[in-house]
Amino acid sequence: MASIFKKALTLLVGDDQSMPQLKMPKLGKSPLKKLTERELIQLESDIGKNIFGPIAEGHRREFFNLDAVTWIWYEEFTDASGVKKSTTTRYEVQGKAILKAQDGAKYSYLEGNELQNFGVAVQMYYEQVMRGIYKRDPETGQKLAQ
Amino acid sequence: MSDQSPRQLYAVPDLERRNDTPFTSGDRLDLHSSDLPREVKSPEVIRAMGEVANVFEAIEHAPIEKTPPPADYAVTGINYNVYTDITPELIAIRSAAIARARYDEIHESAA
Repeated sequence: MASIFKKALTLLVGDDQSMPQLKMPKLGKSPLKKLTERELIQLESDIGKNIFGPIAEGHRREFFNLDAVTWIWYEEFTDASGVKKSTTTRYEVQGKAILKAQDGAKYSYLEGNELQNFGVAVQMYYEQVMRGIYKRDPETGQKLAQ
Repeated sequence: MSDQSPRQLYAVPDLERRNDTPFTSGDRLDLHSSDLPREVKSPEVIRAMGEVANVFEAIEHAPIEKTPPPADYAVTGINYNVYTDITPELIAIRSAAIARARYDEIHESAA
């Protein structure tokens, strides 16, 4: 609607660059005003959990970037006997290697296909989150034009 | 998610405590016969060290649930087959960029 109005105004008075008083008011920098870190991470996880495809019925999955060096994969489900089970996998980015810790007990460095799978997931998450949530160009990191 | 912070919810150690995490098991694999005092470097000791190292190596590579491949193009709209050059360094860059964008968003909102 605003663009139509702006176009109409431009047609009526010409380019508004030369008439600052006729400039369109900005509608706000972002639609994400006042979201907390936790809420932003939840939004990111809504994207992240779908990167690996459909989630089985009765399962809950979260996949998100927690901070600059930590990723979390959380999977929760109820087994055949009705017992709720969950697995938390933490990926620690160590510069030249990725350490995977499962349920705080099992540690291994990602390698081979698993490293590639994780890397592709990170790249997909990055592209979708930067565009979809933070409105940034993944290539440049710059804000996308509103 | 509950009212807990993601860090509490998923039991992630605080950044300042990272150095204390028990992620140093690999150090044990770095043991080498040359690390031993000269007087105990007998063939038996060297063989025993090898066995110990093998045990640790077996633990390190015990099969655990693997990270699966992302879903295919039909689900995500992204053809990830184009990503052929993903390295831990690139993952680190992407991770930092996301965290930075989130930080900026929070602080822009607060401003």
